[in-house]
Amino acid sequence: MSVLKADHITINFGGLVAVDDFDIEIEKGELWAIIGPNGAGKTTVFNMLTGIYYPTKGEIYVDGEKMTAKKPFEFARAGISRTFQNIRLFGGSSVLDNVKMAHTMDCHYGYKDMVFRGKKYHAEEERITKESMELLDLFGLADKRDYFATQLPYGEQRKLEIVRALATKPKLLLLDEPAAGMSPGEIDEVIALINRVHTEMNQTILMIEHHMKLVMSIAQKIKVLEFGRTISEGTPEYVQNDPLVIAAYLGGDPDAHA
Amino acid sequence: MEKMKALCKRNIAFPIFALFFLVVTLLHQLGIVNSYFMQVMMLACIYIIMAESLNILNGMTGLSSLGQAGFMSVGAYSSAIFTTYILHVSSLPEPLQVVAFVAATLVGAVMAAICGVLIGIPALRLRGDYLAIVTLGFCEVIRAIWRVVPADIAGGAFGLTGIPKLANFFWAFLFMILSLYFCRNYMDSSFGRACLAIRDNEIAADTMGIDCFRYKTIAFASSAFIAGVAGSLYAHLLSYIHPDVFSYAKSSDFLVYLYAGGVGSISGAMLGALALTVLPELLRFLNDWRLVIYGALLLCIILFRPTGLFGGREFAFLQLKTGGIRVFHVSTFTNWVKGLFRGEKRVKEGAGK
Ligand SMILES: Nc1ncnc2c1ncn2[C@@H]1O[C@H](COP(=O)(O)OP(=O)(O)OP(=O)(O)O)[C@@H](O)[C@H]1O
Ligand SMILES: [Mg+2]
Repeated sequence: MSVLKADHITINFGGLVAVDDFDIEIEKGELWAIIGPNGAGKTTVFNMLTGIYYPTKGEIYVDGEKMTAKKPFEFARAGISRTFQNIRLFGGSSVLDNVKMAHTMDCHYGYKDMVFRGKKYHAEEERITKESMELLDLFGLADKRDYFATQLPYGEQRKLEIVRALATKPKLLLLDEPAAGMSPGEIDEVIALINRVHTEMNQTILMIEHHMKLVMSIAQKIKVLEFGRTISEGTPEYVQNDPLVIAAYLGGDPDAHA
Repeated sequence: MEKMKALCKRNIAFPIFALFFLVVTLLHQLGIVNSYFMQVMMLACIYIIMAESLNILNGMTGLSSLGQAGFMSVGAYSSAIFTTYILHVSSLPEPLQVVAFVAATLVGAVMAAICGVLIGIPALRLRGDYLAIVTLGFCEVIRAIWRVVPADIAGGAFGLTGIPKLANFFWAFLFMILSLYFCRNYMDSSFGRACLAIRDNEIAADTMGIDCFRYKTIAFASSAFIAGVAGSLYAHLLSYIHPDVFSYAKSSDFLVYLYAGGVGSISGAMLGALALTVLPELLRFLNDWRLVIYGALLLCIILFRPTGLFGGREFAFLQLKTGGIRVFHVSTFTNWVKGLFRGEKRVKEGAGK
């Protein structure tokens, strides 16, 4: 069964059709990318896949379960986690706490255990701290655990968002422009990291990215959006040579390349 | 005994508080401090509980409440009605009176928590100033209710008199410590972290699987619960309560304590309430100038330390982990004592650039 299925979803904002008839089916272990010019509707797709916006038309299924009218935290519980294009860390909290906060839903002790600090409390807190530190370590952020999240340099904030999203143990990880605003060196590092998460942790990923080098080097399948519509879909080689895509990016006449 | 030792080791705050309690009691017994001072100390304990209660909402969860005195009055009235009219405590033998008092405090706290949930469910759809206004309205409605309840149940507009004086320094201090312990445990748990996440970024908290509505309701109930405890202490300490005591002016007092001490910090709330309760008494020799100086000092605190006296810090002896405080190691005794009072920064500052 597919991890995620978006069945012809459409969303209107007033008169604007921000995403038109978007259709995707992601299988376990795949790495998908969505590309497209600014304002194409990529982030809006993510917002629908995480319950922040409700599609005007169409249905979303996670692991076969219908997610219509579910709230964001229910999407997270169903196994979808994401990062944000404009970083949304828990700025007033430490790096480690940011990751621990993402463990809230898999923290199995009740109010009573919290008040009286029973065995269960200590066991769970220890487990959560250990798992959080392991993830931070993987991303080279372990020694920054005590900093405020907002004190990290920009690139590390983006990494911390990925760590936090991974901490919810998602079935599908959504990355919204994970390399935005990074230096070329950092981009290479991000490519390597996403690759590692994908292959070693067998993480299913759907990402939005502008950097062609990043997308073409690691994505298995690509969807191209323009003005809310899907104009091309396929392997990196196929998409790269699709005249419609070239036209969308270079603003040329599609027939000229055909 | 072994268990006790282990408990003290895990919670160094307990022996420290016990020592403080013994010293103050001893000073009182020896006649070095008078009963008036003890009264101020008891009020300080109660206001510390209130500041901590407010801190759960304003500091941890980022919800603005202006109705804290309302929760306090629910605790005060329901516990006072329980001991005075339902149990007729003054006719009971002494040991039973103590049991009745503890039970009444629990009743008051639970009633306040129920009010917290009832007000929370409709109000939590609102944010920021709007939520503040709804809680303010709640506080005033509760006050109006105490006025119209028949005089033989709650004293009506004349206030409730003849409440048995069951609270003393011991109980005020004990309940304060229990409240601090509760707040510490709350903050250092998935519940507290969920609240902090909601405060820092609600959309991100939501997408990380945190059921914001549930955790906000829990925060409201928990905050109201300990406000109810403070209310019961207040009623059984002064043996007289009046609806006007719990006006929004009282709520704003608690707000001032919290922000002067450092919003979001358990130590800050404690310090703020203690300092601002004791300070006016220390300034009594200034007579008419007292309130002027008090106000000026308050202004200075907020102007020169906008995060409050202890904002972003916690006393190490509270052993808080959340917020990035480093685990406290006892190396030498001097270090230990220094560490206790230095106030560790919760998170490293300015080093991340
Ligand atoms: N809440 C909203 N209300 C109205 N219009 C919106 C809303 N959210 C997005 N839009 C519009 O939908 C369109 C798609 O926006 P979106 O953010 O999805 O683009 P994007 O592909 O992520 O672009 P970028 O590469 O700049 O991030 C834009 O025209 C935007 O103005
Ligand atoms: Mg976008």
